Amino acid sequence: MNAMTDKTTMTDGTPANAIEMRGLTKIFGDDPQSALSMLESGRSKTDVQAETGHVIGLNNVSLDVARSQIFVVMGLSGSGKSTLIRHVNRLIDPTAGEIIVDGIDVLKMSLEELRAFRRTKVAMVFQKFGLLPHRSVIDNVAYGLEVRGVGRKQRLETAEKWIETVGLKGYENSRIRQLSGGQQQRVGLARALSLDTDIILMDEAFSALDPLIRAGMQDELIALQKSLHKTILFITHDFDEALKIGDRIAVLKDGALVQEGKPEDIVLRPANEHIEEFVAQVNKARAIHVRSIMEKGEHEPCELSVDTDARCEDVLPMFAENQWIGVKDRDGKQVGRITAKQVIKALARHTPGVP
Amino acid sequence: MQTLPSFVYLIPAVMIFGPGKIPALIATIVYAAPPLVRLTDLGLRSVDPAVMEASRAFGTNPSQRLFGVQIPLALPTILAGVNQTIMMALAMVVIASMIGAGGLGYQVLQGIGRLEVSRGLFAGLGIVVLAIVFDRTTQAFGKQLQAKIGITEART
Repeated sequence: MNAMTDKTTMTDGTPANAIEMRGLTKIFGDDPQSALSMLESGRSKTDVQAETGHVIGLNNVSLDVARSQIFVVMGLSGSGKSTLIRHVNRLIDPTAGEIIVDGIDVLKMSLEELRAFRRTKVAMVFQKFGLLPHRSVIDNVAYGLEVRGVGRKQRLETAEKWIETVGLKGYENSRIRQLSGGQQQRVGLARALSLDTDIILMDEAFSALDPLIRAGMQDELIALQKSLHKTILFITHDFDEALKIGDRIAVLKDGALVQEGKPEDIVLRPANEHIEEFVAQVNKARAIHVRSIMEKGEHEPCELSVDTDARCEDVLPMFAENQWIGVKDRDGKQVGRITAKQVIKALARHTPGVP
Repeated sequence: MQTLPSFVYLIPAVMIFGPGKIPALIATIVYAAPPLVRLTDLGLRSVDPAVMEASRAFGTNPSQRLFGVQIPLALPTILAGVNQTIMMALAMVVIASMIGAGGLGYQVLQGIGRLEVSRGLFAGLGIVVLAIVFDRTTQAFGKQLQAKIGITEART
């Protein structure tokens, strides 16, 4: 654990953003450059697609992902979100734009540098798990370390530790096919975590799981993140999931960035109709943090209090017994308080159809 | 290679090396190798792309992917190729004996030439038994591997 805290303090000298994308464009087809010049000359995406037969995966996306936060990219299928995440470790090369990870331009890397980068800087979790069926669980978890060249004894020790963390103790020597989907994704998660990289890419990591198991994995990810402080780029098509785990959310549509901001920004101020549609479906009590609607300042101490990360759904049951709920910062100091009325107001205001 | 009648391979082999065991061996290899090559190729290519991508994402180089992922996952298919190749090589036994390969095939050939039914039948049965033994062992080995890897589940 000490090594982990050292690492977060060490990042002081390095750039504030873990991942920066500038004008990222990806066009699939035989001659992407000509389609790109059409796109740059101001033609619409549908025009270019109809005329050249090229598919525009990403259209001029710029994003900053700050360190030690869970950044969620949300979009429907075909919105280019999976294409986007694959640019970070260059599983896909962009047609135009630049990607800077930890201050280093990923696109300027040689093949050898890129491999070293993938081995040490970014780990990835996949929707379809991508586990090796001919290996046991522990060998799968140790795979990344094996590729990195870590000795057998050490990598198995590390793998064992992470298998325990994700709750698969006792399954070390099982075959992958003997595990359920949820367990398989735990292996995928352990495999990524065992590399101890600062950045973890999660491509629809929980989308293939049953709702209950998915919720459990989300909670676990949030709990893990509290102690690990990784930079996690998380892709999902599920707005609820995005609101639950995201520190920041970016919404993609048809390969273009529609809105980027804190979860409550998106819920309270949707940028366009497309996002409003999502918001209408969503559980707002989960999306809105109490800190954004509380009465700020020092008040007399409340009997019950929550931390600043708490959301409306966390405080609602507490109002059964109390009128005021305090909000405390990380050091336990009360920074504000909130009543049931404030919460109800916040929820009601953002319900469509209610003026 | 497989579209040509197997007799045709004998001609260039004999022209270059003359009759004997070596040209028979070469003709057999030319005749029997294609299934192995094709199935190996098929097996390597049809490895689950999701697994390959994951492997790439962890920074593997091409040889690590070939030996660590592709070959192990393609092994059942490769073994099916080995099996087919052995079967085809056995099919060449009698034909190759025409250019001096000797062995059981020559016994069959002699049996036909001298109308000695018992000699031909006996040698022929020998070849069949040999083929069954090879076939069963390689297939059983392949099945064992397949079960170990769980290929069928992995592809769904």
